[in-house]
Amino acid sequence: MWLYILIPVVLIALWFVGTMNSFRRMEVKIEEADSGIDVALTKRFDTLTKMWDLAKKYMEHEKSTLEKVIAMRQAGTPTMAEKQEFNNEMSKMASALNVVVEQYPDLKANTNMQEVQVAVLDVEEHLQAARRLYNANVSVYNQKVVVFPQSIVAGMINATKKDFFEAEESKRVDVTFD
Amino acid sequence: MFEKYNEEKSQITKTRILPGGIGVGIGIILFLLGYPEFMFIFLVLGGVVMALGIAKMNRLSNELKQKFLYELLQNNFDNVTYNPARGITKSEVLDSELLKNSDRFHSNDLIEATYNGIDFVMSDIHLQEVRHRDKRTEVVTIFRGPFMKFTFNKNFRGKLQVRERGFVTWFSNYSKIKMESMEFNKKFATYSTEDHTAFYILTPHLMEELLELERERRGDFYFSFINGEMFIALDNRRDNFELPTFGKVDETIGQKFEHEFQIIKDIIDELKLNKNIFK
Repeated sequence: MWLYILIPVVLIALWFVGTMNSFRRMEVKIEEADSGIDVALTKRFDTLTKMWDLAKKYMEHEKSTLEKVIAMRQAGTPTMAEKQEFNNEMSKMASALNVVVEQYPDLKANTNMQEVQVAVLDVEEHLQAARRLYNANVSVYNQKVVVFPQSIVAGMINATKKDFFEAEESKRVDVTFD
Repeated sequence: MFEKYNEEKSQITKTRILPGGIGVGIGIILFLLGYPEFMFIFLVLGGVVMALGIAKMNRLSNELKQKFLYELLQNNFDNVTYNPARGITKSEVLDSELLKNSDRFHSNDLIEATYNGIDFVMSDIHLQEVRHRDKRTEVVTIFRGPFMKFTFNKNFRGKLQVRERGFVTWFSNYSKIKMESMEFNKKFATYSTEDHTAFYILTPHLMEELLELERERRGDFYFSFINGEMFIALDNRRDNFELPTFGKVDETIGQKFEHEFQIIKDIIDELKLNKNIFK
């Protein structure tokens, strides 16, 4: 008789442990993907500041953009929203730099500038890859958090939905025709 | 060129293949009638004459391909080398990690050329497995179709595989990756040694192009990205540059061949392999 009680209890306990472990494994994957974003953001910052150094004498009027980005870079442990903000500011900085490079042919023809521009593009590709990897992991995790019966385990171990790393504002805006 | 080929082909059929086939046929009839001692003479003689005919036919076909296909390739690509009798090696195929080791391996029609500045290698390959079942032995084709190798336009760490069928062995350090495109995940299984590399190589554009390639061509696609190279294998169960055994060959064969290597142009153009801005 006691077997009829013990077997379901053991099965439920095994399912609980398995589900809990899968949440923990996913959290580790999300943390890894998150650090991938950090690495890509740092690389983007480094390459953009290199580009800034090369275009410094033409960028005096945009100095406040650089100062803002540097201040954000020095923040302690940023949240996902702050990282997004930091990335958006870097995009503004990149746009300003590209405008200046296009305006001055001697700057555009500079070999160092050309190399840095290629590096910036590559870093942006890596950042996009890191963002997509992070969001793919978060999407699976969030689905598990809300779907029954995993939602019971999620509630018990305080697993809550995580924020996505959204695409840059400029890339989400629809094309408009004036 | 084609007239001479058709004439010689018909001559070989009349003087070698047909008499050889008749000899083999007589041998079988004699066996059925209970004359096994004569059967061997006819079988061996007929078989030898037929085999010589087939060998001569292959030589003739290779000569035509060497002239005609080479010309066609030169019109479409740069730095062309073509050898109908040679093919990509087994070790090169195994290096792609797409196909497992087979009992029998055959490759031919080796094309090495450049298109839009991108080097590529293409060859037809045929992989077979010998299976033993209840005292019976059967030879099963496990892959047949074109195998291609390209220089990829990005530097990356680790390895990546995208497969329409089959899976990566459990004991490898690959892990299965789910991309964000449900349509892509439905059609292909993605395996990588580094999660980030999978997302870095498989951009939304590349995923869409791989799906498009799959929609346009019959057969199962396999892609791998290793050491800065992209390997593609298409299992369409065909020897793509084979001349028809029966019937006459004319200029229309050129259109068929051009369709076969159009895949190279599609891959380089659509996947933008010539835009190697990150190297």
